Amino acid sequence: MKSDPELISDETSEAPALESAASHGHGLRSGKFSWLAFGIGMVVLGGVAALLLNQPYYLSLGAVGLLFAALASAWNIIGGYGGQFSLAHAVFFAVGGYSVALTQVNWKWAPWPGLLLGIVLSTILAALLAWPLFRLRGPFFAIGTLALSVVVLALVTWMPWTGAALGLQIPFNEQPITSRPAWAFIFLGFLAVCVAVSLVVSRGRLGFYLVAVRDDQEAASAAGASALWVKTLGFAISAGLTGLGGGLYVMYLGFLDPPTFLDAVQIGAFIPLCALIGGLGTIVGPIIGGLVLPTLQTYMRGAFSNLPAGVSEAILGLVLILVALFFRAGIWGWLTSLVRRVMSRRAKSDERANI
Amino acid sequence: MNAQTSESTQSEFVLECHSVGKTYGGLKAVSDVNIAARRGEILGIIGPNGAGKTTLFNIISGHVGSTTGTIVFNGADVTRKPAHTRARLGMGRTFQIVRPIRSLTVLENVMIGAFHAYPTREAAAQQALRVLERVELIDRAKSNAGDLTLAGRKRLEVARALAGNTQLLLLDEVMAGLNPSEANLAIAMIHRLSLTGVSVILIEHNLKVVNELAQNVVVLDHGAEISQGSPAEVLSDPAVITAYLGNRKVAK
Ligand SMILES: Nc1ncnc2c1ncn2[C@@H]1O[C@H](COP(=O)(O)OP(=O)(O)OP(=O)(O)O)[C@@H](O)[C@H]1O
Ligand SMILES: [Mg+2]
Repeated sequence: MKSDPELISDETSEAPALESAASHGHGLRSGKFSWLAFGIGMVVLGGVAALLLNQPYYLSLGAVGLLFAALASAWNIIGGYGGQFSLAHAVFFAVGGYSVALTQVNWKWAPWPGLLLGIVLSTILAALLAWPLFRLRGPFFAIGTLALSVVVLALVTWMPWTGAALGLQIPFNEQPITSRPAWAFIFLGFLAVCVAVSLVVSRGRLGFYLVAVRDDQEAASAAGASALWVKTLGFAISAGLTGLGGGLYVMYLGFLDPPTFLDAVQIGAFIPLCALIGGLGTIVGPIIGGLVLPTLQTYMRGAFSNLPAGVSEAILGLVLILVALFFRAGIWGWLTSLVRRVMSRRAKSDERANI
Repeated sequence: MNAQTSESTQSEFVLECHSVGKTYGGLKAVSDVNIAARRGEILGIIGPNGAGKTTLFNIISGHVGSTTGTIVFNGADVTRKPAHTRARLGMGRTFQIVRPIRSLTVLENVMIGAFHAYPTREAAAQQALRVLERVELIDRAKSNAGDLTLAGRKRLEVARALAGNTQLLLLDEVMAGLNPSEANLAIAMIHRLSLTGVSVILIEHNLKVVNELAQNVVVLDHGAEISQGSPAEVLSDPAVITAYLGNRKVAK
């Protein structure tokens, strides 16, 4: 067919090119090789973990990093692709944790069915909460989820059957996996699950709909996407994975108390922060953010241990604000746009050389 | 019985609006409008600025709830159905102020419109490519939607609205802001789409365009329908001429 010259007129001006570079990170561009890249990435991470086998300190840092990379990936499904900035994921994390701990302590269940129960309960809870919560849009949704998380923390701290403020302790001889190195690989497996689910979601219809609803809810509905249904589905999948993470974390720690699982900052805001710093709405971004942020936090606590309490947190906060201000697409978004800019500059100079 | 009613309407009207109205506060944006679009026709809607044309589209597509009246699409009452359901039933619309999904490519934008009829990624992409071919935007399939020119974005709106096996296409001023040669290409495109059997309702300011494309025209003024008929009839209707002169928008 003949092409329309008016339509293919090029835009050589700077502004749209920059804008597109920034928006690239939020798209769905997972190319043909994304599964291959996924496999290679997991093998590399596994290899690094294997190299650290004799370094228990770094291995445990890595384990926590992998856990948060997985949690950030799970959150990213609704928070990044869907643009719904949930601060309630600590609740789903806790539902998973309590499912394992309560069934094990009270009814002597093995942790495995408890994990499954945690996934099911957190998925159902998210689906039920979606209906009232998604009447709120944008910042109001974030505030609603924050309020929910604060209320649940208060309830759990007060209710005797959840162990109240003391929480629950799983006897050491009932913990099936106590070897620390094993946990690095278990959390790596959990990361693989979260990334695989993210890949399937982001490449399929749901991923497209999530992005469409995030960018323009009216346009999405005109195209046949039900905003409520799309968000509910994304929220429930994300919550189910987060519940699995909470269950695993209880098994890892051997105990559970409300602040460790339900703190609005240390869990509820920290998981979204990992995704944000790494790069929202991308596969790689949350993995980077999850690996970097907890490690950085631990490192800073050590490095500034001679300073008054809170200084390291304040410095970390400052770093985060700077990143949020100057690297809006996150570390991964910044890297990819850098590569793209270098490539297009090279292409342009090639063109000039040809002339 | 149901089948019978839908069949009898199937033959004639793709869309019927029965005394549709919408008030915003005290303002009657649309009041007591009755229109019916025949299957396969191009129906024009004209009227001065603020006449209620876009509001009427929003009511038809389900983006705004009507205060009064019923909407019948393909013989079925869709008045209480949400916008996404109407889209899935085969109603496609464009927005006067274009709304591309900016973080997606042109192709991916059109896939958004295709997914409800073509649920897998591959099928949706195939369908999107076919539609992009039809609106002659195939060359820009891989561009970012935000990088298109205005003419390109207007075409993208049409493509997305068309992608889900659409039977009724609602076009809200798809030619506004285009230069004359772009507008001519758009006219040719709409004409071609209509020949493939899609019914079209077209909001347009440019009376020449309406005259060229539409078989029937509805004129709105201050929310009310003031004239209806063939382009020739409507454009010579004194009520229409007064409405346009009153609004200092004279037909050229
Ligand atoms: N959401 C809204 N809230 C309040 N008033 C509205 C709203 N939407 C439209 N209106 C009013 O309803 C009237 C009809 O507006 P509408 O956009 O339907 O006109 P239009 O015929 O499409 O005009 P134009 O040719 O400028 O596109 C206007 O007076 C407008 O100000
Ligand atoms: Mg309008």
